[in-house]
Amino acid sequence: MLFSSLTFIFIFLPIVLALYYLADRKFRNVILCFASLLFYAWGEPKYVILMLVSIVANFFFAKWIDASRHHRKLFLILDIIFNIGLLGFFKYANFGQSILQSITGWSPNLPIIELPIGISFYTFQILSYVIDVYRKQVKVQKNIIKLGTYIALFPQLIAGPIVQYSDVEKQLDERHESINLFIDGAKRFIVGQAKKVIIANNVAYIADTIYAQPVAEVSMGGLWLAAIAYTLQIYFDFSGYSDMAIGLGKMFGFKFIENFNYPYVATSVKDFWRRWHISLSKWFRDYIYIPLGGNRVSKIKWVRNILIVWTLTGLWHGANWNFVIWGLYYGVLLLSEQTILAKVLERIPKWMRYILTMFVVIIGWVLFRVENFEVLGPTFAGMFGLSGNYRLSQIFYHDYNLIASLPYVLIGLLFITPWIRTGFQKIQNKYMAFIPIKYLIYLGLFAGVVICLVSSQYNPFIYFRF
Amino acid sequence: MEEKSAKLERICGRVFLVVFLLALLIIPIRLVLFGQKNGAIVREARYANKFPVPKMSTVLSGAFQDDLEKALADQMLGSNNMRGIFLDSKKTFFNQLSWITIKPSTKYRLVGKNVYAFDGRDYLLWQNTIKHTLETVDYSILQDSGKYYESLPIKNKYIYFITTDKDIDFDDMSTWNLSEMTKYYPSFKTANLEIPDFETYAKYYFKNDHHWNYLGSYRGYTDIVKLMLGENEKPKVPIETVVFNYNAVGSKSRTGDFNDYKEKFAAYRFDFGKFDTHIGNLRTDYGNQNNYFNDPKLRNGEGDMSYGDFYGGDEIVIEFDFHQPQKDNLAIIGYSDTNAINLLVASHFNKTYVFDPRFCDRDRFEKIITENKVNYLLMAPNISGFIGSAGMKLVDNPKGYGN
Repeated sequence: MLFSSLTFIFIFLPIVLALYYLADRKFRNVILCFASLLFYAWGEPKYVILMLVSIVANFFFAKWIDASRHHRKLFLILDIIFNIGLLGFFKYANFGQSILQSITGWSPNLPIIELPIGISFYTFQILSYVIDVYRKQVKVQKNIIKLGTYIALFPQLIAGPIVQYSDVEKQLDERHESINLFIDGAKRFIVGQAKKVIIANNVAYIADTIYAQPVAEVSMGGLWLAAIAYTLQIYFDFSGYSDMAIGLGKMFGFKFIENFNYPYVATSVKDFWRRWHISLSKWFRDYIYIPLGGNRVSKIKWVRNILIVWTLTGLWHGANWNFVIWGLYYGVLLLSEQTILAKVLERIPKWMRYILTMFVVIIGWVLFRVENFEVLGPTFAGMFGLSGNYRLSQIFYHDYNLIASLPYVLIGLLFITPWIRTGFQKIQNKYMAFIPIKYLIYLGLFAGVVICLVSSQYNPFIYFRF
Repeated sequence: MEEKSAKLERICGRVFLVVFLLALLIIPIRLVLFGQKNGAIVREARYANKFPVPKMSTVLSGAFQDDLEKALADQMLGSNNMRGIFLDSKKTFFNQLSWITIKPSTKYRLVGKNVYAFDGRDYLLWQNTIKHTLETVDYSILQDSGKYYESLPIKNKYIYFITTDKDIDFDDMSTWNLSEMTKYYPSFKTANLEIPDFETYAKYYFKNDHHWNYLGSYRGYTDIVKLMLGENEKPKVPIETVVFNYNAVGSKSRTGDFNDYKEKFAAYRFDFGKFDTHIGNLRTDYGNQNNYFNDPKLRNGEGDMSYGDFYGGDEIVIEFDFHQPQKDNLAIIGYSDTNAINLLVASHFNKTYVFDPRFCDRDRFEKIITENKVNYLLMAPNISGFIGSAGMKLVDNPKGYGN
């Protein structure tokens, strides 16, 4: 089930809210746990079994780690193998097979393995719990329902944020729902929906349509438009989901960490990654980078650590070489920023650093989006004018939806900075009358979201039927 | 001031919360007040999706979930208005930027979703498929169908090609080479609706539908009579021309959501004499033209009218019996283009069977033409449809649409 669906908004959410708030406090985790499993099963009926197996297996592994004196590390290793093994099988088996075939010429002929939705997110959540139990940073959870609630909690199950167990340990036992928190959550949920449904879906159409064309037929301008559209799409889609997750969490009394902090105002790559998918960066820092020694090691080892983390970051995003290269791209950029380019970057003005940062980020998203290497080279060549194609692509003459979606690029560009939000805050501080207007805007956004969702089912039967 | 501000924030927040929670309950509120929407969604020419009943198989396959989402969209309070707002806002954005679509080398200009205007004229056109497929179409796919229809034990065989906007590039009037198709049907006599220029197209076709209008269909009918029965057989002459108050709306206005080009629905009225119609095994009327001509309330009504609503829809097989045993029996294979002329052509024969090849299978077709000693066969496709459907090949596994 997706948050941005009528089923979620008008059936699942009201029923779960009603059951949650009508139930006694001691049953609320049970309700959340079962609702979350139902939420998952709605879209992945078969793979909910996998999730249940994961919950049960990790519940016992954590208990054994906690109870054991001499075999704690062994149980941890086994648990990591189990979780990474599952993730590896479902996400990377086909990729591994293609690598094996290209090296040895032999392949085990695996069928195409479907990727269970959210497996990357909940696997990392589970690992954070088990590792924290091993490190004795959190108490082992003796209630399987509470653990299940943590792992499967529907607000953040499918697209994060990756909630570390230590951040919600206390909230599982005692959290304080309140009307103000609920209102904040509802507002956040609506903003997330608007980002996803109104902006992301429309700019996605531009990116998808242009990238679907043969690259030789797309002009330089078209390729840059696609790159910018995709840059906006991935931000509004992902941050929109995070907003919805955080908002939904608040509606049920949870406070999750922020996952995005206006990444497209960053003035360096390091700054960008402090603002983008914060929970993932935090996870890799806490569970890979720091255990490897972080930057408190020799320079060579530090470089090694950075490259390992960023290779894994790339792989986490997808099972294909372009993701690995994308991860390494950022690894190399981060290393460069902190070494050979450090002094140069210090001297140039902030606006120039901003433009450079946005440039490398956009290039990075092209690398991320175009998975086919045969197309990637011509795509970059086209973007930098090397293909000589400057004419408007044919698709602009024929695709109504493409033209109608173009204004959303401007709308998106307007909202990638905090200016609108701080502007509203200033107006509200100055004029009290803005407060009801603000709430009307939220309701208007919600109406806009519902209009878009209802209209996405617009399905005219073109030829005569009745 | 801060206290007042905090109080106002508190009040507005709570009002917002109540409205938000009520909004979440809009589906049960709608169902209690109005029940499920049953009727047609005219804008989309389909019936509203209703809430599906879950079954294990449909839940596991995801079909139930998809159907539920569709039903929620249709059953939402104000869904038609919501779609109107959405499409209007899209149109507004498009209109502000439509200058992008002006291309000097063509007089076609995109005005809506998949619909074009030509040379500033108020007619909606599909994108013609000529230049896109002329070099890539595989005519050999017509071979199988050609062999099949050639093998049928029917003495008199004809093809009348209905030329539509998809078949002509009005920039240079290039079109299909019909002999490349008809060579697979050597025993068929053929003709086509000639469209020598855009003015002729505009005369014969609706502004916002892909079907021919009353002038075009009558031209097609007279061409067919001449093709099949020669100069001596006189086509029926209309007894009246009726211009209704209804706005003619069709596929192009639906798909493009473009209602700016308007025209009134007009039709010729004919005296068909006595005849019976069976759709499947059911004796019934075909289409509603009698009602529209004879019922004063309908005749003087207002609103929208579609080609299919007036002339009749697409059915697996229709039988027209004009009780003229001295005349031959005819089989027509056609799409919706023939709906306007089925009755007219059938009036020159004893029994006529109209088959839609998208829905009728070969076994049923052969059974009917054999049992009823059909000795005239007319295929009347639009050209692009003819190529796209492998020469009007009858289906192998009919899905049972219509009857």
